[in-house]
Amino acid sequence: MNVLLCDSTTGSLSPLTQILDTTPEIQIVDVVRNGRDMAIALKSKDVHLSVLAPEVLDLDLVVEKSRGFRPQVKKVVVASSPSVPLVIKAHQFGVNDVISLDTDTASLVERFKMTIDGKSEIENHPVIQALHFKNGQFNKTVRHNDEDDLMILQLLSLGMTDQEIALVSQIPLQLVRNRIADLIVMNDLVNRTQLAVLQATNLVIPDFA
Amino acid sequence: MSTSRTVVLSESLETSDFVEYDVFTDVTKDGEIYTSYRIVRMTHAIIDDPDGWNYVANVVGIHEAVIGVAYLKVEDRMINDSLITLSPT
Repeated sequence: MNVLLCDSTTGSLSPLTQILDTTPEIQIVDVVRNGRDMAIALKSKDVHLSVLAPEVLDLDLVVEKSRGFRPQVKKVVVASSPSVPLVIKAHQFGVNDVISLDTDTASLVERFKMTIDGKSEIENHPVIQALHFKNGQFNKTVRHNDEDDLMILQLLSLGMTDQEIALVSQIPLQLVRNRIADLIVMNDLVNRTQLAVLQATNLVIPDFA
Repeated sequence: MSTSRTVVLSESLETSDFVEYDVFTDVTKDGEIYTSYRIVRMTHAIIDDPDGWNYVANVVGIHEAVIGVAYLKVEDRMINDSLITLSPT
């Protein structure tokens, strides 16, 4: 399997690189440490699996959004000690699995294979199951109906309360809440905070190419 | 000490006689969960309620198949707060 290693600038995946280098089933197509190289590698090379350091999760989201579509490459995060917040973040960013760096090589290769085959182990994590979150829900653009919706979204992402949004936008509180409820449903989210965070991370990346 | 009185409203009255919009959103769980309802009928007016509730209405869910009773705070024909008791399904 062809694996792209997306490492942090501090090289947190270096121990993994050494392990995978000596694993015959795995071909490391490239080791990248910035968004530009990540985008080029994903575009020009036949990648089956992106292995991400926890530090580059946000970068991966930016690269994906800047490309304007979701590549059919599966993703795993490999971390020295995967915390619960990291698992939740990875899940919401559309990552398919989070694996500990301490995992033995045979199990690691098996988890990689399962991920490429579409078996997302992250869905089985008890926290993810308890929260009823959906995979990749932060990995999309916020949908809205009109300019009023957009204004409410922008004010929401600035941390305003419903009353403050009503005051600023001159839209009655009842209608502000109705619109927020519709936006939550329209974007397939669960709560208000998710909508605010999704809008706040809804980056528009200029095309420098 | 103030005591509230509840007055039954005539069935001939329309929802639009009391509020501008018949759809409102109930906010629960520390302001996180937004659930929209449509008023089927305003059933009671509450007078001098110490907590400020001034109407009771029968409601149905917009996105969920639920029915219930809503206590409403209506001001200038707009619904500013609600307290929903859902009927058992």
